[in-house]
Order: sequence, then C-alpha cells, then structure tokens
Amino acid sequence: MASLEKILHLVTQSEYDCIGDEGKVLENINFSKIDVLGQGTKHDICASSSTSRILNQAETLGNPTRSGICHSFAANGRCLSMFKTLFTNYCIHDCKYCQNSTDYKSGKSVYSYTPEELARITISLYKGNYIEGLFLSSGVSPDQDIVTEKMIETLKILKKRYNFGGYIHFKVLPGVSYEYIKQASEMADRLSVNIETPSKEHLSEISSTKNYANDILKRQKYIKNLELKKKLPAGQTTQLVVGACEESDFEIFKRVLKEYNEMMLKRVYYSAFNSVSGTSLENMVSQPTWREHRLYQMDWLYRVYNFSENEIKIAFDDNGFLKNKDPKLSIALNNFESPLDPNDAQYGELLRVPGIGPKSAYKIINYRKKNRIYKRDHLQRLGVRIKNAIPFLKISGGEYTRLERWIECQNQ
Amino acid sequence: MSKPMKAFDYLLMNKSVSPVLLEKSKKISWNEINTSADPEVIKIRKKIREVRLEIHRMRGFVRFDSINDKILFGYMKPENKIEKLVTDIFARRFQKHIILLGNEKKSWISYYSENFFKRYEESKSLNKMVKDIQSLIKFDSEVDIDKIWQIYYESQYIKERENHRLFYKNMPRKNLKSVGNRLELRLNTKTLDEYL
Ligand code: SF4
Repeated sequence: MASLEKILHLVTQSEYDCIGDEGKVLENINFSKIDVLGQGTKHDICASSSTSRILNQAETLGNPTRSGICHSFAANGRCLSMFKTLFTNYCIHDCKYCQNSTDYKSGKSVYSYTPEELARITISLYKGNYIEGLFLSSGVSPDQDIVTEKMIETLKILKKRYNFGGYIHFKVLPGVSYEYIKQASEMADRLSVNIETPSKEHLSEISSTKNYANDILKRQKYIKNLELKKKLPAGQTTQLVVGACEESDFEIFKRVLKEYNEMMLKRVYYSAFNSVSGTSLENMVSQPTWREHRLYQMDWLYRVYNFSENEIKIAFDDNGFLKNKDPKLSIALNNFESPLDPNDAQYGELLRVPGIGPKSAYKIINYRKKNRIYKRDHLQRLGVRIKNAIPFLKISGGEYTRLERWIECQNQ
Repeated sequence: MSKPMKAFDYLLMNKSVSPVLLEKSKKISWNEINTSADPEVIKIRKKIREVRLEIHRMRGFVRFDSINDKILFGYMKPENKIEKLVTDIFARRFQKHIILLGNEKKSWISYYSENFFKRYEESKSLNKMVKDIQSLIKFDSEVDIDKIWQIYYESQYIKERENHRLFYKNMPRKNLKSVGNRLELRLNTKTLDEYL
C-alpha cells in the first residue's frame, strides 16, 4: 500500500484543479431540460468524432482521436459519441417537420441551458468516458447572434476554465454573423449549417421564414473562407432531411455535388424524414430508412471510390430515385461488358467490382506482386466478398456472360 | 510508453495464441500482416484484430466514477490481457488523474503527467481498492452522472428506427458485461426475464 499512498500524495499535491466547486452547478439540474434539449438533436445524424487536431495532452483535459471513438450505441445501432444537445428549444422559425417550430401545435415547454451548466455536464460526461465531446446546436432566438454568443461562451468555459481537449461540433445557426462564426471556428473541430433541402424552392415548401441563399448558403461560404485561411480540424459538414418536400434522390445528388465541389464540404449527412406528431407534417408518411442508406452508398461511391458523376447517374431510375439496391451493383451491371481479370486490373477497375472495396483492392494489388490469383479462395482470403464479386471476375477460366451475371445478381 | 506497438506485442496480449504464431509474428512486417494471403499470417491478423477490437471497445465502453476530482475508477474485465494497456491509455488521456480499473479479482492503477509515469497492479478487487483509497483521502460525493447519461441516452431514442440486432452487433453483450455496463444493456433488453 505504501506505493499507493505515495501516488495519492502526489495527486493531492498537484496544482491541476479541474473542477473544484463547480460540481455544485449540477446539484439542482432539471432532468426534463436534458431530455427535451437532447431530443431536439436526435435527428442530427453526424456522430463522427474524428479530427486531425493535435494537442499537448499535458496541458489539456483529454484529447481528440484521429479515428474517433463510439462510446455507446442507440437502440437503432447508431453511434453515440457526443453529448448532442440544443442550447435552447425556443425557435422563431416555422420548419414544418420540427417540434421546436412556431407551427408546432402541441404545447411545449421552453428550456435553455446556461453556459456554465452545459459546460459542466459536458465535462462530467467526458470524465465519465461517456462521450468524446460536445455537439452543440440550438433553436434560433429573434436575434440569432445572441444565442450564438451564449453557445460560444459555453465553448470558452470548456476551453479556458476546464482546459477541455475533447471534440467539439458546433452548429452554425441560420443567419448568424461572420464574426461569431469566426470565433466558433477558433475553438471547434467541426462547423456545420444544415441545408435541409436540395434547393431554395424545396426549402420554401417547408419553411416560410428561412432564406436558402442568405441564411444557409452564405454561412457555408463564410465557413469555407475561414477554412481557406486556417484549416478546421474536422472540416465543414451539412445535413439534408430526406423526403420532407418530395424531392428526388437525383435532386439531392446534384446539390451534394455542389456541396462537395463548391463549398469544399467534408461530409454530407442524410436523415430520412420522420413525421413527428404535433407538427404540420404529422400526417405525412415517414421515409424508409433504406432510402437514407442508399444515399449514403451513393455518397460513398462519389467521395471514397471516386466514381464520376456520369457513372453514378446510371443508378437513378427515370424519376430520379435510387432503387432499394446497392447503387454500385446497379452501375456494375450496366457498365461491365466483360469480366475483369484480378491479376492485371488497375486499382480503379477493381474498385468498380461489387464486393471489392479499397482495402481488398489494395490487398489484391500487393498480393499479385509475388503470386497469381487463380482460385476464389485467394480472393476470399484477401477480404473480397466472393458472392458479390464473382459474376464480374474472370478467374481460372470461368466467366459469366452478361445475362448470367444479371440473373445471378437479381437477389443481391 | 509511446513506442509503436509491434505485431508480437499485440499477439502476446491475445487470450490464446500458439508459440508458433508468436515466433512467426516476430519476423513479419505490418505490411505483410495486412496484405498476405498466407493462412498462418491470416491467423495472426485475426488474433491481432481480436485484441485491437477489444482495446477499442474498452476505450469506448469503460465508464468512470470519481472518488474525487482527480481519481477516476471503473470496472473492466476483458477477455484478452489488455488491462494494463487500457489503464495506461486512460491515464494518458486524463493526465494528472489517477486511473483505477479493476474487477472482482484484480485492479490496475496508472498515473501519467508530463514528466512522471507510474503503474501498479494489485491482487485486490476494485471495491476493496476504492475503499482503501477512500480511507486515505478526503472524498467528495460527485454528481450522479450516470443518471444524466441515462436521460440523455433515452432522449436519443427513435422508435421507428429501433434495430436491436444492429445495437448488439456494435455493442456486443460480452463487451457490455466486461465493462459492467448496466444502462445500455437494461434499456435494450427486450424483456425483464432476458435481462435477469
Ligand atoms: S430552425 Fe427550423 S429545424 Fe431548426 S430548430 Fe428552428 S424550427 Fe426547428
């Protein structure tokens, strides 16, 4: 026990005092507030906590990680790595699907955090290892700058008083001034403004108070310009609500291309519309989650697999919707004239084969430097999903015709 | 402590690994491990993956209570021999804090600051260790952060998206049990019988 005593002594001598009396801030915390303000963010999909920020850990409480960590999963299997909350659920906008909107018919209680409270909860959850950081959003008060100022004050308390080194995702509210966005960019890992819909016409169907060009796109440009001067460690992102205004997947795709190419976004997130009772859209049918899933696959093909715009267009039907089928498979069925020999295909060609991803394509290329691939087993051992890939590959003489390939893939 | 880990180091932590694989792992590079189709190397890759995955999950799923502002403790009973490493990882994350992790049989303590690093291992249960420490120092009763987490966790629930299969794929029961997780396990268990 002597050694334990020594170490305890050392710690009690340490000048590093992170919390002190601040614990009292939470003594009378209102649990309904945590619940309601937490619920206000549950349709925000982004759970990423990976960042390129590097810290001197000795000077901070905690640290961010390059790959991010999931500390929990919701009942739907989605990663919960952040304390995701609104600062307040008071809002002047009338978004038809939102329970914070002025259009919301059922009665609601309005809650707000104080910056101290919110910072303290974040620190306590962080030290309990429940979270990687804070995801801070809010309803919009008549002066959006005022609520943003309070949100920024929260970040300042976290950074200055608690030396918080964890991850911060900061939601830029529609219409917020450049100066506040700049301040947030100096403390946050990631900034985002939700575009919600693919165009101003679509946005006007769900909100009469928000202006697409001014409230949203202009703020995205501000963030982009800030990023050009000083890199945001986890970049800028956005989110679309899928299916709240009858937009097609192709319309979404066209907007997403602009978001990546013109706004330099790191990621676009998709959240399938879910009708909430009491809102103006309570009787509208919720969107199936597979639609969201297929949009993510399309996004992945563009962003990670480097598929061209024209290649991806093939996956949409005549009405501009993706089928409930892997878009990569639809594209491959259309594009593959003849099967590919994995022994001499280029990396980019291998990536176009269903069942082969960047990791297995890389392994194939490495493996064939010294060996020949002539058995399915070789590919399997390199991580290829054989059932999906075989119809598109030429291996040990066997190869599918286009028709056979089409029949074989019908049930995939 | 921050030396890059070798394949051999990971294999050594695996709960069951043959001497042949251990020997072989000394001679191969990370590149070979990641790309080879040789059956033995694949086995090594799999064993390393098991260890890494459990480390990753412990980093995410272990929960801490606090004895006071500078002493954090939590339950951990992993399958692989990763206890020391995980305790060190947390000590590096929460510098100038004592990290105490343990279970019914053993406890591990790490402390890390800029120019000081200490690590202990004790054949005492976590409960006993906590009591011993409490007898040596002043301790505060901190906020009930588990309650705050429970309310927040439930606030994120979306009925239409419920998918317990996916939940358990990402948060396997065995990992939940090995960190003594009560909350997520209880909230995502369909019937009380199943939970009990
Ligand atoms: S801006 Fe619209 S979506 Fe956001 S909180 Fe207000 S009403 Fe809801």
